[in-house]
Amino acid sequence: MSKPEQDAALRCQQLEQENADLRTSLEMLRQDQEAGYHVQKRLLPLNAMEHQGFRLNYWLQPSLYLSGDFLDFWSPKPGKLLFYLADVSGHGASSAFVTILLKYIVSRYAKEDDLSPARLCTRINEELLVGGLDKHLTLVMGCLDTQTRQLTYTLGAHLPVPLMVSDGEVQELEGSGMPIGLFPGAVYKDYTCTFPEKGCLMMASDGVLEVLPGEGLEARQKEWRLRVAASGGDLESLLQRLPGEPDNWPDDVTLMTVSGF
Amino acid sequence: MQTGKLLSAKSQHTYILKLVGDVRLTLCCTLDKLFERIFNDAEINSIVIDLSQADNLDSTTLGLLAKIAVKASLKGLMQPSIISSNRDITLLLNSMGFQQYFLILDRPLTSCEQLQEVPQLAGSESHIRAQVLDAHRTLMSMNEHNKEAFKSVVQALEECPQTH
Repeated sequence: MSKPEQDAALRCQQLEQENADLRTSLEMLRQDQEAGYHVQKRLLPLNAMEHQGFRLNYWLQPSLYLSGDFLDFWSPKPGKLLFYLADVSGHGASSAFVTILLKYIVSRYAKEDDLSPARLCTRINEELLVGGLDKHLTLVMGCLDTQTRQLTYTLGAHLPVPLMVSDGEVQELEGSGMPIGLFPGAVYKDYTCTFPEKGCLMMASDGVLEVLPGEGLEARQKEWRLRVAASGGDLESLLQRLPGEPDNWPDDVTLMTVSGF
Repeated sequence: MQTGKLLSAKSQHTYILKLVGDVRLTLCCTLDKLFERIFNDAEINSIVIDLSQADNLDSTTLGLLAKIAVKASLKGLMQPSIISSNRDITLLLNSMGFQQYFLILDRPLTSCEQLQEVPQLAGSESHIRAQVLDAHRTLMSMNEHNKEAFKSVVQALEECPQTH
C-alpha cells in the first residue's frame, strides 16, 4: 500500500470509530430522554376520571420526549373538582422541569387555599418569579362545584380560549388574564359560569393551532372552533378532525375535556 | 418564513431592538449580555422594540420582552414602546397583557410633525397637584395592585394643604 493509500485507510477507520461513538452517545441521550418522559407521564393524572356526574379526560403528545404542556385534575374535597391545563414557554427538558414545579406548587397551595383559581395563580406567579427560572406559562384553571354546577375559573393568557360545547352551540369562556411568571404583581380574576347540563368544556394547548390550516392567529382559532363544534366536544372525534400525523406535529399538543353526563 | 434575527442599535438616549423574521430564541445566554448593555448604560432612558418586520415570536421571545419592561420600570426608565404593524403579533401581545407594560404603536413615528415635544406642566402649584392627583387616581382604577400601591400617595395629595 502506498503512503497516501495508507493515510486514507487510517482516516476511514477513524471516521468509522467516530460514527460509532456518536451513535452510542445519541442512544444514551435518547434513553435519558425516555426515562424523563416516563417520570413526567407518571405525574399526569389517571386518564380518565369520573366524579359525581362529571368526566375528565385528555390527550397529550410531546413534540420531543419531554413536554412543556401539563395538566392535572383531582377532587381536593367532596363535591369539588380542580383542574388545569398549562403550557410552559419553549419545549423539551427545561420546560418539563417547570411543569414538575407547577404540579408541586398547585398541590401544595390547593390544600391550604379556599380553591380560588385566581388566588392559586397569584401564588404560582410569585413562586415562578422568585425562582428566577426565566420561564413562564399560560394556563387555564377551573374549580367545579359538582352539586351547584358552578364553575369558577381563571384565564392566564391562554390560547386557544377554552370552549364550552352545549346543545350543538360552541361558546368561548369569557374573560382575560395575564401570563404566569412574567410580571411581578400581576392580578388574576375569578370568573364564574354555570356548567350546562350535558355540556362539555374543551381545552387545548396552543400547539394545536400550529397544526390547523389558515393564515394568522384569528383564522386558526376560527378553524379550531369549527372543528370543536363538529366533534360535539368528543375528544376522539376531535382528534380525527385534526390534520396530519401527531408524530410529526411541530409543538407539544394537549387536549383536555370536562364533560357533564 | 425568514429565519429570525435580533438587531440592536443605540441612538442618543434610546436603545432600539429590532426583531426580524421568525424569531425563536432557543438559547438565552446572549440575552444576559443584551440586558447588561441596555441597563448598565446610564445614557439610555428609553427603549423601542421594533416588530414591524417580525413574522412570528416564540414564547421565549415574549418572555424576553416582558423582562425588558419589568427591568425598565424597576430602573425608572420610560415605559418601553413596541412598534407592531403585524396584526397577528399585536393580537398575541394583547392576549398576553403587554398593553399594560408597553406603549404599543402600529407604525413607527418617523416624521417630525408626529414627534412634538410634550410641553412641560405649566401652571400654579394647585393646578399641578390636581393633575398629579388625577393621574394617580386613574392608575388606581386600573387594577387592584395599583389601587394598593398608590393609595398612600393619593391620600397624601388629598390631605396636602392647598396653596393658591
